[in-house]
Amino acid sequence: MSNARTKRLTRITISAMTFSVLGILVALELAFGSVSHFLFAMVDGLKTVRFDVITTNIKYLLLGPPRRMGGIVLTLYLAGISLVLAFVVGLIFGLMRNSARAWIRYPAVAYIELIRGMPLIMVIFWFVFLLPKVFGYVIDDVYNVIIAFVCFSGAYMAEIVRAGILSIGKGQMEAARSTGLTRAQTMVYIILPQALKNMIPSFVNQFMSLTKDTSLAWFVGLFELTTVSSQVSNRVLVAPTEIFLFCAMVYFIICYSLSAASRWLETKLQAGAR
Amino acid sequence: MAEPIISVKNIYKNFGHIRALQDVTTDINPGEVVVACGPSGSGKSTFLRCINRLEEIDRGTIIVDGMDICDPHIKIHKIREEIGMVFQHFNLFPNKNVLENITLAQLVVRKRTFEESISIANKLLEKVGIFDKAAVYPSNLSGGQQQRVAIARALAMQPKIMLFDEPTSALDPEMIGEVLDVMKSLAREGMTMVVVTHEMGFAREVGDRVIFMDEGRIVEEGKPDDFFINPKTDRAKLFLSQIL
Ligand SMILES: Nc1ncnc2c1ncn2[C@@H]1O[C@H](COP(=O)(O)OP(=O)(O)O)[C@@H](O)[C@H]1O
Ligand SMILES: [Mg+2]
Repeated sequence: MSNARTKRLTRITISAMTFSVLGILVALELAFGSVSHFLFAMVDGLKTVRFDVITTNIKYLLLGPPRRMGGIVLTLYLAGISLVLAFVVGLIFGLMRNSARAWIRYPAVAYIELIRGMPLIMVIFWFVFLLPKVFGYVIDDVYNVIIAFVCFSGAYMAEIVRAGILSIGKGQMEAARSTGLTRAQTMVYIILPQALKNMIPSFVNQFMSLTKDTSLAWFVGLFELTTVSSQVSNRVLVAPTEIFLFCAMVYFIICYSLSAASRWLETKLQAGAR
Repeated sequence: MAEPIISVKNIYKNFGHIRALQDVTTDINPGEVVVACGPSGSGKSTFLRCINRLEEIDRGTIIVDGMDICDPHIKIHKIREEIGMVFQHFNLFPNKNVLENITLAQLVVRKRTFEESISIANKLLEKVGIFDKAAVYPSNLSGGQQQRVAIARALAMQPKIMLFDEPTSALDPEMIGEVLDVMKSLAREGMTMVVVTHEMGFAREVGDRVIFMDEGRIVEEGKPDDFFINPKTDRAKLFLSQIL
């Protein structure tokens, strides 16, 4: 299809969509008066916003209950530790996944495919409820959850690593090996430094997912940000919007910092080797 | 007659059902410059790549400098230290600058000291005529400069044999000369070289022998002047009429 025609079609589609949405809104307004009602309700709501619930509960939101880690601090802890360990796991399994030897490659394939086919909440349940029963060990649920995150995220990281390595042309491996380097030395000195740089955007993507997924720890009763937010909300009763808006904003700030850091790192590395 | 430094006997190499090499046999003496030519897909690259075992042969034997390279007990990087290779697309390491490209294998494989590696690298850069580019990254070099760095990188291991796979065919015409000049001086210094190229001038000036390949076989061999002026086989005649 020609470029001009694609553009025209896109334009027509967008206008058609805009008109149908407007049409539906007008129809709703005429039939039930519901659109203007909604708008008035929103303005009314804004008048009664009470962000003071945040300031009065900030210590609890930040630190959680006394004598144990909780709140934003726990969220950062879960995300930070899992992120570093998942990177290591991903690197190891990504390299195994690319191995020429079947007995190294297949376990990695099995792990990656099994985990990627599971919802994260399942993996969390295994590590929190199932495995400690089956193997009869007791550790703090914080660590069970971290292990679950690392297992889950590690599988995705492994695929990122694999794709990153494949994206470096065969010529690099051949050139390095023709000067006498072994396969492992070539990986360390030539392939990985180039591949890891290319992988940064995908890694950051995965880091962001992981950060937001720490909210699932709510299901198993960890006092991380989402849990303490809902506790505060239940206690205060009148300000769920404010509290969960704050909660969302914190996740956003963490994720945005990650993406800003990655952009900074990318430009820095770009300046180095170009 | 000296002992050949490369001895290739009845080698076969298939890629699936593609017969890349069929019953190739040849001996190459120390200091000899062999030019391999032939149509695209005739197996020239595969032949070179089998010599340093970037490809494994299916049948036959290859002895390099007294070592049977197909022997599973032999450390293949020991052989590769003796054989330098230069590729059509240079394959410099883009994450390393020129000096690091040339010193890496010296440090890691040869275990030379830092100072020694750098002094060898600098000498080689002078030899290939780009002494002032040591700190530059490959992406900031012209094709001809990159290929000369690639030659220096291979020479840094002080190999006994150099393999060149179409070293000038990815270059703009005005840069071919500078790379060929480096190769010619190398040939005159007595390096054993196997060069896949269609540069007839180079072959006639420094080549000792031309190998003409077609469909995975060596179809004709001879002195460069004989081969280019007076090819014996019809296939060689046809090929030469096409590249002229
Ligand atoms: N890695 C490979 N996988 C499959 N086929 C290959 C591979 N390398 C080379 N071939 C095939 O082997 C034949 C010889 O290739 P090559 O040695 O590259 O020829 P030349 O260098 O003379 O152009 C060609 O038909 C090519 O398609
Ligand atoms: Mg070729």
